[in-house]
Amino acid sequence: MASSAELSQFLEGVERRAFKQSVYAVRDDEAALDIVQDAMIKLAERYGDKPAAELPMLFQRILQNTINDHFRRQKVRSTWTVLFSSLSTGEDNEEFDFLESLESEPGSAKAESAADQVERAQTMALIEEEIAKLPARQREAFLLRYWEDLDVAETATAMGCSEGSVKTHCSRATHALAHALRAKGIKI
Amino acid sequence: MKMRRHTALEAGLEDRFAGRIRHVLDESARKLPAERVHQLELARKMALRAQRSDHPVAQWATGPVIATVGGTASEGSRFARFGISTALVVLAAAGLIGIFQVERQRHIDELAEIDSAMLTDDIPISAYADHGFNAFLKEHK
Repeated sequence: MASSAELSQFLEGVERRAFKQSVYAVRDDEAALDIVQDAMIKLAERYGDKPAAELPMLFQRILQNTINDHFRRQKVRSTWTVLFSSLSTGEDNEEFDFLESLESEPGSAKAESAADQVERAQTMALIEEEIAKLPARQREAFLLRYWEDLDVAETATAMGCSEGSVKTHCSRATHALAHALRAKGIKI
Repeated sequence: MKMRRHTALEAGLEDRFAGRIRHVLDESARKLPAERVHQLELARKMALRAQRSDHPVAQWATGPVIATVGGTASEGSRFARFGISTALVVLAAAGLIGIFQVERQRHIDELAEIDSAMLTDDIPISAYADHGFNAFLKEHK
């Protein structure tokens, strides 16, 4: 059973990412905050007696369900994600080469100028915008695998789908992001 | 074999790309406004209280509930009031039972006194069952 200290440590480590994930999904800071709060309380009330090692997967499952509950209550669907999913489904990305999206970092480490900082902030905002535009399941799989560090099996459990679906969603999300960022001239 | 190697290569590139995206996301999370960080901290503390509320022993040690989440009375004083009320009810019930027992014993003692008087009297017991004798006693009382 996770102790209060272990639960506290876990929540403190995950709360910012959970908030950002919720913002990408619902595009409303206040609603995202409510979602994270609800998910934390549900985790503590219903699964506070589970081992600490299970908390990450459980919390992600609860968070995604809480996000879905939000949509059901609001009865709002993002037209962007619907349009984007209809564009990407069945498309071949054979001509897209991953190597083109991986530009090597120029030069050695230098102190960032104010202009560099502004550009960096803008790049960050554009990347976050593209993540928010991903179809919900692709975004979910991508963030759980690459940001929350869940393995394929854990991600599948959190998403309630097969491991094969997780790999497919991740692959499509990665391709879509790389393609969109390259189209905007963003090099990361 | 070629296809498998290509897939492995692509998987490696996917991981590298995702790693760079992750770096950007981490930076974005670190740069959350102070107000949001504070709100998340409050939400975390509320969740931890929810975990502790499932354990009554731990609840005694939590102390006053923060007013911002709607609580106005301390959990400790609420428990004390409940305990005092329960104790009063138990005492009242014990008192009623005691009074009942005393009255019952007094009634038993009265009956025993009458019985012993009847048994030690010169008049035979069967005489008390005679309605004519009872009428005689009433006339000459």
